[in-house]
Amino acid sequence: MINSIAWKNIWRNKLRSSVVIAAVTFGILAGVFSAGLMNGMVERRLRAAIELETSNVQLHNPKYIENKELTFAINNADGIIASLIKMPEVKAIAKRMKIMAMANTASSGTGVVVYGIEPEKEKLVSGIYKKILPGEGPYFETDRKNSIVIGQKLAEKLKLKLKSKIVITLQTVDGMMVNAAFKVVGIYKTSNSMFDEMNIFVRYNDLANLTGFNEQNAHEIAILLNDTNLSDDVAQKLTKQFPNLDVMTWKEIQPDLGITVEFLNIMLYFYVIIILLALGFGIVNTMLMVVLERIKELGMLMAVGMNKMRIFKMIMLETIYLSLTGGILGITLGIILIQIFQQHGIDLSIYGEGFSAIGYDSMIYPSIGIDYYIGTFLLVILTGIIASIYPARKALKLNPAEAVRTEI
Amino acid sequence: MNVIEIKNLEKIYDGKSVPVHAVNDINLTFEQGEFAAIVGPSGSGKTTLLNLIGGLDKPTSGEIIISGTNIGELSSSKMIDFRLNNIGFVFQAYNLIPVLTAKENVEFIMHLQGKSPAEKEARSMEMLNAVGLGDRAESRPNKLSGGQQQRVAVARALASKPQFILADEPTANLDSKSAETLLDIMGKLNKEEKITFIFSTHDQRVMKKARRVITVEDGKVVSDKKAE
Amino acid sequence: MNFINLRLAWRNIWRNKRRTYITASSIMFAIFFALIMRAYQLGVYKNMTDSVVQAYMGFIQIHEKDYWKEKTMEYLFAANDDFMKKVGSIKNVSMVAPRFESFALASAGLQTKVAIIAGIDPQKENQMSSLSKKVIRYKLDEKSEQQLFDHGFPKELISTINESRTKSFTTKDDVKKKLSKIIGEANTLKYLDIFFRETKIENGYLNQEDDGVLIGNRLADFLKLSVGDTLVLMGQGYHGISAAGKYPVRGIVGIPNPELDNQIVYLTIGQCQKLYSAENMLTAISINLKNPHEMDQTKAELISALHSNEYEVMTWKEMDKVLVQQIDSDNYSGLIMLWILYVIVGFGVFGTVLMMTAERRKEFGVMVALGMQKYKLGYVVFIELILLSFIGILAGIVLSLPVIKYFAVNPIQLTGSMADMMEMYGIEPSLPFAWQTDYFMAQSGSVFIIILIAIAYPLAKIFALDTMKSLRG
Repeated sequence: MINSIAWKNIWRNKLRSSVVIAAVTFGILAGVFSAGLMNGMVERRLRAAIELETSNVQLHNPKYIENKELTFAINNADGIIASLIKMPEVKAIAKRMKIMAMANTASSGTGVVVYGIEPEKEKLVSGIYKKILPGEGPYFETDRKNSIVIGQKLAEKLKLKLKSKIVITLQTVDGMMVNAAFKVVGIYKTSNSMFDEMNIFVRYNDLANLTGFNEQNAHEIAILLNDTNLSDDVAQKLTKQFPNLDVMTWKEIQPDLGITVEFLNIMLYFYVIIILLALGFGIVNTMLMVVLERIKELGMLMAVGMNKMRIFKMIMLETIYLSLTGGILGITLGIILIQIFQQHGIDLSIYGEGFSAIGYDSMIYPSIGIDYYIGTFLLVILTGIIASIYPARKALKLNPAEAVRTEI
Repeated sequence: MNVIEIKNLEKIYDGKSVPVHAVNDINLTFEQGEFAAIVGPSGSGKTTLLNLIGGLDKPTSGEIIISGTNIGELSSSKMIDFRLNNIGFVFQAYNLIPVLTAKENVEFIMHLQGKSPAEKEARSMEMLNAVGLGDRAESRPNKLSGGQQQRVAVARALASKPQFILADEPTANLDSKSAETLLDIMGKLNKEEKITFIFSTHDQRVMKKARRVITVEDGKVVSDKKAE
Repeated sequence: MNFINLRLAWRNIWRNKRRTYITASSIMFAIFFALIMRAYQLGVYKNMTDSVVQAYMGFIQIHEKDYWKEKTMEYLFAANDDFMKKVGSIKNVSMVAPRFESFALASAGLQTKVAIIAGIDPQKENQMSSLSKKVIRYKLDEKSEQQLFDHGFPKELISTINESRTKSFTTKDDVKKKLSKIIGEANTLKYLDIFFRETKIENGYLNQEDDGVLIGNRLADFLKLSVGDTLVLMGQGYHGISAAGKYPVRGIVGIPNPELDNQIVYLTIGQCQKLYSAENMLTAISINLKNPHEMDQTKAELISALHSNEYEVMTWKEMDKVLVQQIDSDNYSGLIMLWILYVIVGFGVFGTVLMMTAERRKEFGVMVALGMQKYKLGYVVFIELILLSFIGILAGIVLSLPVIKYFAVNPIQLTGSMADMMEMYGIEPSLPFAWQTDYFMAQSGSVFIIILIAIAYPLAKIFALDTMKSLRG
């Protein structure tokens, strides 16, 4: 009964209620959609980072983390891999050498990170091979010695083309500096231009031979899991299993991404809460007017025996319905908009350079989990409840006899 | 001298089912210094007639000429200015501006006329004294009784030195004592200052005070009696 | 303005106190939030650009054409005194410093790292970026930690300092100021002398003809180098000639931009040209300005003064596009958020005005009946609403001022992983709030515009007021 009175009351002053509902709709729509944008961007970045850069878990010699020195390696990496591959959570494993070096061409040079990889196993862990630009292949398809795969950004910088020669200068295990010429067999491009500029790939054997590195060892063991959410669990297990090794999850390897993902939810809700707070003022104001306008009527209701609890409940329900109507409209429109743009994507390539410099794709495909919609829905109800308290209390302070007498 | 000439005045409202003939072919003239009451049962068309004279409403046909000006020919903005300088209003529900004091309410119209502060000050006090409220000049409307508010409204209407004052049921919301006081003040102003008052009423006591009683029924003037 | 209008408007505002408070509060809330957010954002941007522009790049640089795109030895140019004079004679130019910049492998002992090699004119560079003031003279490292501990410096305090990440200091005053913040004034005074004695490192700046190098603090840590140690540089010189040299470390400098601090090696421009076999050649001329706001104009003047297309003149915004775009995209998303907020506040104001005009319809009708022109009535109501919004805006500004001022003077110092992230992007992990008038104006103005839009409709309704109907109530 009170339910339907509350609902009908909203529509007594259509224009005024519509303004509040429009405000809530707009606010929630804007909040949900921008949350979808941010979340979509980060999700894509996360997927790309795990697929191309960090995997789920990495193992290193603890000293190597401090200081990326050639000799700080994981001993007997092959043995470790053999035991790890039996774990049910593990999808694929690859070992890598990873050292800092200078890359020079006839005209110029720059600092790079050289990865020594075993191409066939690497393919199972990292998707870099899928990022080879069309016509810039074939990746490590031939058995040619001293082949190298580089990023497009570096190729541009050093003016390299497919089949160009590039001289890598690095340190051997004895501390000697050596030069070796490599031939470009692939140019890749990810959405992270910083990554593309820094990282180059050669065969593990070539690099080990060049530096005198023990072929049983590795600087890095990259592990891809069946489910990213298992990263922390697996990392914990591995820490126990290999106390001498440093175990890092993707969150630790890319702390910026880790923080972004951790803070993302807080940020998204922070946005919505700020929006709801701003909406709250308007809702309180409107409901206050509703109460003051209806003093006589409320007095009459009290006089005929409607108790204060019921009055309070009625005002509160009316406030909640008012906010929720806007909330549901906003969320629905938000879902529709997000679905539309998820199909087509939003092109931000005008700002693309800035985005890709921090690793983000310039195409945004907004997406957000159902839990966020539910969370927003609950927050809207909460806002309605909080916003109703003041007007409802005001209504309760009415003296029925006086209220009936009031002339407006 | 005729202040108001009303010729063949008609007002038809689009009612829900049938058109309502609120004012039906009324011809009237009012002279300077009259104290006239328009009476009739509710729905007889007296309020519509007053609104038409005041230029708040437009007639369907006919003319209203005030001091030589056919107000039907004025644009709505010109009409507002015309009202400001020629017509005083007193409403049934007083309708003072609630945030202004009694004196400021009286000054308000002169303010719209662009009078100087000195003139406003002098005249507003004069008018308030004339309605016997010189001591309540600084009170806001909600601190005044209904009768006092209505007297302020009369002072306000007088302040602009209008040609005549229209009062729609000025005593309807007042108790009999306040009503009498108000009418005495209006009568006195009419006699001493030669202010023209035209008011509508259905109150017998008020009618008795009037020197001319025009009875309206179904939009038509059925009698027009002048007291000697 | 007419006094009675103002009085009418002012009193009308307070007719319904609660509604006025709530409406003004919503405006205040938006302004407060907006100003805090802008102060924070703009502060971060200034911090970001300062660490790039003032500390290193300069506002404008002149290079051989296409150098910036390629940054290789192929794009060197010779600049004689005439050239430098010509550049220096432009009105807005305050400083001109020659640069020779390239990459090399820097090694010491077993550590090797790719370093940015910057050949500078020590004197001019100092004038430009106050490099000598960044020379570190007191530093807490493993050795000095032990010594401090041996001389009675409490271990907890050492770990507190370590946690704060402030372990390098340039002057005695710097030590005093920073330590007071970290371990408190009493502790600082008590242990100051021991700290000075045990953490002091002999550290100098470069002479004009110096044959040594200055290195970034983080790079020194990585290479485990101290003053007096030898650094080996290896790279590729002009025309592909190999470049190698040994240099004594003269000093360690703390560069605010962590990315640069991790890589930078300064040597005199003469030594640098020798290393790369490029006598008298430069990669860039770096220019500082008297008035940074006239940067684009100065750039145009430089181009016409050089009168040659052998050179390129670039502002820092063109050189560090990534930074500019990062700032822009963050800036825009922040502004969009604020405008969402403003629109919501606009709806609130709209609702209030709507209720207010609906409630006062009869009163408006009376006023028109009494002879008030509708535009005058609209004007009074307009003033009333403007006053109301000013109250909200002003309250928001007043409320935010102390907060912003506080964080402008005492920047938030980040620690932990948040700080790591900032450093990764080359930004000092400190968040000073911006303290300037422009964003106060801009945000208040934006809110004001929204309010104007929100009150337009109800105001328009006054003009369409039907006197008769409104009088009937």
